[in-house]
Amino acid sequence: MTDANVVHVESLSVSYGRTPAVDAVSLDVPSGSVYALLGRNGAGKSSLVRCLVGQQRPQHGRVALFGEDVWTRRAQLMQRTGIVPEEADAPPEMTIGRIAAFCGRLYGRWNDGAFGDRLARFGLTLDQRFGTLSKGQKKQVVLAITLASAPELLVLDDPTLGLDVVARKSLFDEVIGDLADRGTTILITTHDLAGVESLADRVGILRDGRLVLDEEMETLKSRFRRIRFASAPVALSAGNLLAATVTKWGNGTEAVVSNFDDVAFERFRGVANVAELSSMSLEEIFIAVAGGEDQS
Amino acid sequence: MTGTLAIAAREIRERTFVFVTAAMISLMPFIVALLMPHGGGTPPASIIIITGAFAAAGLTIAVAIMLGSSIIGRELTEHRLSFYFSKPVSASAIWFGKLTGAFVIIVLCFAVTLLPSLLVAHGEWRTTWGFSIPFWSAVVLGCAASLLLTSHALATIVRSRSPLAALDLALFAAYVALAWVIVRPLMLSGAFGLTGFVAGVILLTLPLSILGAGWWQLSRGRTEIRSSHRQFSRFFWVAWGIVIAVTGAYVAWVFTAAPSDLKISAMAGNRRGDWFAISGQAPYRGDYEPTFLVDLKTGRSIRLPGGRLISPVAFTHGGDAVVMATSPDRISGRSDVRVYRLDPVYRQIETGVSAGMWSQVVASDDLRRLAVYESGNLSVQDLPSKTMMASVRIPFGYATGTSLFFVDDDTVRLYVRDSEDSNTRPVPHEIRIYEFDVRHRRLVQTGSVAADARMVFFRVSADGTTMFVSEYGGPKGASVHILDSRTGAERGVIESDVSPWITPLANGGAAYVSRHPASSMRIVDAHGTLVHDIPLGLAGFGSVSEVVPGKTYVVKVRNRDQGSTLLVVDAERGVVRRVEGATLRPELRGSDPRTPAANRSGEYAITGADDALWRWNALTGARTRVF
Repeated sequence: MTDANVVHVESLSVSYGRTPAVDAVSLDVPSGSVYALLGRNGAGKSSLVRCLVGQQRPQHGRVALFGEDVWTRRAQLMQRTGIVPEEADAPPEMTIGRIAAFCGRLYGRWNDGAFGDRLARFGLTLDQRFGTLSKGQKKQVVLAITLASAPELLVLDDPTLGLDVVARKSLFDEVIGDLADRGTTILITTHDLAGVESLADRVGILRDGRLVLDEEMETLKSRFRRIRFASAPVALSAGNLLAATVTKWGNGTEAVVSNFDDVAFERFRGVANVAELSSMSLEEIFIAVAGGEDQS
Repeated sequence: MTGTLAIAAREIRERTFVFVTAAMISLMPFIVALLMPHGGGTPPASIIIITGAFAAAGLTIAVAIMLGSSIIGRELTEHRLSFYFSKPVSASAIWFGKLTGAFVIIVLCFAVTLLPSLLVAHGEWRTTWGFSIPFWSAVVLGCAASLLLTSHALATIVRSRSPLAALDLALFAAYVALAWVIVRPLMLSGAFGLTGFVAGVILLTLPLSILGAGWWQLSRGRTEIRSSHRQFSRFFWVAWGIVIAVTGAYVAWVFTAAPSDLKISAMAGNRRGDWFAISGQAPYRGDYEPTFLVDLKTGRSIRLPGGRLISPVAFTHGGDAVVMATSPDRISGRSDVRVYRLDPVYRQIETGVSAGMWSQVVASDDLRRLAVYESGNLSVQDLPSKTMMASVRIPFGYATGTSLFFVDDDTVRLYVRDSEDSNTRPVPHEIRIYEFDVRHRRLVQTGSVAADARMVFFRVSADGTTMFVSEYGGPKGASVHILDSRTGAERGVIESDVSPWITPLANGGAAYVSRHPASSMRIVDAHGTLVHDIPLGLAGFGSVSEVVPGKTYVVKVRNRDQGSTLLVVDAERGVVRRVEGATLRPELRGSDPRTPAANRSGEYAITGADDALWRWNALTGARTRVF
């Protein structure tokens, strides 16, 4: 780990009984970057996030935030870390105002004005009881509280869950984009791949608890291509191409290759009957990588 | 601290409905007083204070249970504890903040419910309840705090729905059984103060262990409910287990007290002065008082089961055996009767007989018979066969004092009193004398003695023929009647300055310490005629022990200023020798009214200034330390 890494995860394993949830995961999130942690339901994202913020002790491995062990230094590290959990967890009987007052006493960098402004933008008032809010509104309140403490690291666990389309777009474009521009380190788990695609600097994909992919967004997108062939089957090995998935496409074949290279491909094009070559979105890459048996 | 206070304040604010409920319930006593203005003759103020106290205690306990089961358990179940763990607050702040908040709610709830009743009728409190308001408040709030913690423990275990709950249940049963195993021997030994202390430590550390376990649960288990339960159980069972292990080790250590550890408080010896039963407290063992049989000749000691020497220790008249009852069972109140043969070889003889607390037990010298007088019934056992030979109901109302001895193997003589002593005025006393023929199962009243005095004492001579009845506070002051021990027929009387503590002598006479005009030892013959009057040189009550008949006597004198003083009196020469640094402990006597025969060996057990046990010979003055 280097000092530039705000998050350092090392050989982290979590299991429930005999069922492994996270299996020897190691990853780093550099300072000021946006890290998108992707995975299907049950892939182990929430367990990893709970370990990441010191709420759960892993069976093996360790997590460091800002270079300090999160299990032993959680309370201190939470001054610099904001968390938006998957399920908004504030006490339902408290009003938004009381929640804010409570949190305001705990954070050294609490910004009441920023909290009020954000709340107004969400169309919420201080006297509303948390328990009476919709799922999306609860998420917005938690987000407003988290951001009011001006965190250096923001951990968002599926923040768009329950948000409508407009709120979701606002979250990605205005909130996360703005924070990223200001240098806040962000780790986000989400199923909204389109939303995170333009923001994330780095992507990690969890599959059955294992981190099967962890790299820069640009690199990732440059090495994945969809190639369609008019005939089938096609020997991709002839062009030294690795197929992530191979499916039927009309009378031909569609292959997603994970090690695309312009020069190699030009040589391959000459011997194969390539009908179409296209780049892929993050969602398509995710399906190819994390789709598992559903896609094969 | 900020986190703790913030969380405590949040807990209190969140549960303001409790105070509203408490305010409403505080009106209940007044409504009850209005509805039943003459409730069974009870004044309205009493009704208010009784109802108010019950309402406050009831609501406080209910709120404590409600809070205990929800402050952590509910948030764990509903996955809301992460709200705190995602904030810069420590697990300690969360736990102690929530607990502080809950306890403040409990105290306020108690105060709000009780205060209106107290304001109106506080004057009735003392007369109605008999204890102070602060005491009662402490009891209620202490119970509420314990229940708060206990219900938190139960909520953690139940809400996790983990198979670990079965292990918790099994461990709880095992620990309770262990605690019982630890406490029971103390109880059986009669050390009720120490029993209470040890049981109190075990019980008090239960909520304290939960307090620590709750903190550990949040520190290590955090937001995951099963992990939280696991960590709670781990801490709790280890902590409480350590307490139980330590108390168990302490109790085991308590029972290692040796005779040399004792500060002797009670003692009883046989007539030869070689075997003694001693009992006393040992350092750091509370009121546990083990009893040992000690052979003064060798220093050998035998620990007797049970503890304090509370039952009469009855050395057989010959002095070769001792009959004792174990400390009574706390539940049945009955004791096992045991016989220990001392000479020539020590041996415990099982009797198979149990006796109640106020029963009288004696054995015959040859240890063939055991007589038990209990609740007006006399029964005789054949010890070798452990069978009951005969029993009989004594037809003399409710006996307040009974003494008995075996005249021979087949005859038991009983002296039964049916009167209470009085501290203020002379009252009529009657002692009836019976003989029970065991072989023919026949009870005969052989005589009776009547007296009119405040107090009556009696002793029988060593050979069982003469009875000395001391009347204290009678119309003529103190006097002693010398009677035939079987019929009660008078043989003589001693009337001047006589002490109630009289010692029958081998020649049929008696010795006692007279207090007036100055303290002296007096010896009278079998008709009460004064033979010797030897000034002792110090005032006080005293008792006499015969060593060499007609010559040597050991006298113990007690007075307020000098405590207990031991003297050796040579009656022939009228010489009194003071024994320095020695105390002859008061001896417990059994149910046999006969005075031990003269202690011709001169051997006595004494305690020195250092509280050590010494063997002392009154004839030679030689001392040997036993412990």
